[in-house]
Amino acid sequence: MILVDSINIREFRGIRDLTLDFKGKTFAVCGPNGTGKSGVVDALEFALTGTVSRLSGEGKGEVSVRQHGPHVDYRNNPDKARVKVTLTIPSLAKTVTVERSVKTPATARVIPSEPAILAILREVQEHPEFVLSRRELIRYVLATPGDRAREVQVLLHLDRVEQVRVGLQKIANSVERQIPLLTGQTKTATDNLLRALGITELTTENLLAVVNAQRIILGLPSQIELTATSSLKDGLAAQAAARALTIPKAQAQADIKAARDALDEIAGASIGATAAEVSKEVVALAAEPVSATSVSTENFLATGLALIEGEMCPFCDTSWNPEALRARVQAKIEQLKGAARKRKAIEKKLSPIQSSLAKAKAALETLLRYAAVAKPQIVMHAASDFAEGCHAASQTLAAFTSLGDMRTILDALPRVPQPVRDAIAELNAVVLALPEPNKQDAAREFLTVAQERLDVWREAKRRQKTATDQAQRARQISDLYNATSDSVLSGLYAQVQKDFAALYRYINRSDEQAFGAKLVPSMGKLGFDVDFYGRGYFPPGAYHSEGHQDSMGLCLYLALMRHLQGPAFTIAVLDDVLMSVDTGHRREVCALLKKEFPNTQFIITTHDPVWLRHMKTVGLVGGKNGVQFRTWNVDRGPMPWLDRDVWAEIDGHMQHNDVRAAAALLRHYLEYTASELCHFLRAPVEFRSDGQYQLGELLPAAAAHLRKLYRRAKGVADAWKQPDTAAVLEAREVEFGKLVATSQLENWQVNAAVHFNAWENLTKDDFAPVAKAYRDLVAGFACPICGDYLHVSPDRETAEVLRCDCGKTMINLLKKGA
Amino acid sequence: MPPDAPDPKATDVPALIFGQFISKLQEAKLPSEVVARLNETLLVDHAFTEASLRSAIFGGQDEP
Repeated sequence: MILVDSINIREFRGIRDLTLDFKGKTFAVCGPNGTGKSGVVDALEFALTGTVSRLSGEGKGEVSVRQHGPHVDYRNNPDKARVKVTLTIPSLAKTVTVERSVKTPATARVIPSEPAILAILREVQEHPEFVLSRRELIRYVLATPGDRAREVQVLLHLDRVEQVRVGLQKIANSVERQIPLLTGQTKTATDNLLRALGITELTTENLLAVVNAQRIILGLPSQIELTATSSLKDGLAAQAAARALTIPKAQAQADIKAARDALDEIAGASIGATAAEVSKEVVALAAEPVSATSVSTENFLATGLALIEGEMCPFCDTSWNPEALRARVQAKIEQLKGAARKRKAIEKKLSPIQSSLAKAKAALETLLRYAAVAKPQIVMHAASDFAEGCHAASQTLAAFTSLGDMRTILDALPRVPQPVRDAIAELNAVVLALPEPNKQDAAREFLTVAQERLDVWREAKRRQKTATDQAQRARQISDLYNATSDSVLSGLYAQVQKDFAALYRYINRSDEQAFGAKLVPSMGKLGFDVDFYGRGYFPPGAYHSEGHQDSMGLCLYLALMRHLQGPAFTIAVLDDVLMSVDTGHRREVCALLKKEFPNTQFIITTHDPVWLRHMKTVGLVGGKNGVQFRTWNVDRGPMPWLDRDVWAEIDGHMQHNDVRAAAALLRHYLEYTASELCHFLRAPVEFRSDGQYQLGELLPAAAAHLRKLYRRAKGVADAWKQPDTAAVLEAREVEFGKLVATSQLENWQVNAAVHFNAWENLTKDDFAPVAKAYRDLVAGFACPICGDYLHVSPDRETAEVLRCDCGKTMINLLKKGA
Repeated sequence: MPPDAPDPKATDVPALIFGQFISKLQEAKLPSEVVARLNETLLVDHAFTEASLRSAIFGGQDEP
């Protein structure tokens, strides 16, 4: 998609004003901790996406880009905090500048602002995963399967896939949950209808037999079939309409008996024992503080998860990152899964209790209708209250929101208040006192009640069928979705698994040539096991060292990015990602990046100068495509080791007659440079296991070795009968010798200034020749044309050539026949 | 890369999954209007909330 040519950072994070020239190639930023490396990473991410992942997301509390993106001295002037990047878009053959201010992070100034360019920049913005820090990397490796799946989902933009999976699952579950309730209502309606018909089995034949018997009494024609719209009262409407509402005596007696049976069931031993058992489990659940609150919290979070949309909170308009917020809420829900399991077990045991409550409510409501038309009217407040109580209790148990209320209901459940039974007895007495109806009236009452209850039964059946159909459809869709996403992801992960193992084997080919890995997706989880020296597959954190885990994380990231982005994987920012990897393996990482990702521009930060050297040695980073920060302070920001800066800084100190500062800086710079030169020239230095070399051990060794190389090259030129080349080399050796001689002549002054606290005795004029001598000497190690330090190639085994990066200096070191 | 080459795009894994899912729904002979609504919701409107999915699955059908 893009290559970054350069970046200019102003008043952003810890940086005051810094320009780095990436040249569209892999670039390294090296420096000790706290010198501003990550500020460069943040700036690059900010310029391309408008956000900084280190300042947003989980665990960042009050930290934000808007408030803490600007340099601390410009926190009240965020417009001054700006990052400008120059990009190349190879597919468009365009160079583009993108500038963004912290004041308006969502808006970038793009020049030229063409639709094709903006489309590509949007694509980049949608893939902020081009930045990888060690913190993120290790999450892929050491996470639990559920957490890893979430991390990888974010990387692959699978959060939408997961959101849909969870949504479809919830829909299927919620519709299925209605079925038992509706089935219970249908059963109650069936029982009521059977009671009204006076039969024990509901078949069309049984129904028509008893209905037609009554219709014959009324002189109505028999019904031959029963359809969905058949009316049992067909032909009776006019007669029935003329009658006042009355209590059907026989039916009322049956209903009173049914109500008493329902109350006895509630007060019976079976429901009582179940209620007592569940009550104990509710008490135990309430005794676990986390579980007690988590039951309702999980409900709340699950509801809220589905409502996270847009870029802002709908209540307070605070901007949020929807993906990060969803991941955070989902993680909390996962933590509450234990409570959810206990809840489901209790819900299962509550089912017969809820069924009994529904049956009692329905039975009492039937009696209340009789009481309302009784003459004189019967007041049944106690029964009415109890019916409502049954309904409320059932709802409270179903909602599962208050464990205290649930326990109160369960403990009180077996007790049916005596006034309820008294009211039923009063109604029963009224019903018994009713005159026995004649055959026609009884038949009319029979058909009226039967039709009423048939209507209720039909509606209950309709609702049950609708729920069953919807549940079947929702479950089928959910299952198909899971099968499809698992199939696609399994294919993707199979490729990633293979690629990951190959990348890791390359880095560790010295001892893990048979390494393999298993990446197994399943229902929102992603298992990850790796081979441990042929002894079996284990989680990466089980036996592998921290360093191996770091390189696994990098390999997994690279494999995922390669399969996700394919040829669009043109840039990746690796922020100190291999802290725990030893130097040998880092070298292999450099080789891997160069070999496997030749079209990807890596911006790599590291605190380790050795790794920087490896990057240069294997050719991952070009000679000048790196920067070393030597120090940082709040007023100046990071200070890189750039030649022109160092010499200008030394000159500045001397102009202020601050020889102490100039000498200290010179010494510090020479220590850094001498180390580089010894490495580049393969100069022999007495080995120290602590790696602490002094300037006096390094610089003379580098100078002596370069002179030796010139002499050797002259000998080679003589052997090849190249007198002109031999003469040039001899002249170069002589010239360089003069530089060395001059610097050695002045060397004591450097030592005096730094070590013997004699700086106060030196003036600007005393120190100026020292600085000049070393400046000339350092320049003598470089190619006079391109300015790059000369280096011996290859960097191991037989030295073949002394050369610079531009190739203008190319000095043969191999004699004839070598 | 030549200037006229199309810009390489990252694989849109969600779109890949949603597209195959719609094909599977068609093969499973779900009602065509349900498949059309899910296609619209996932691949055109990019609406992924539970409410959007419920509406796509059940249309205007009343809850039982």
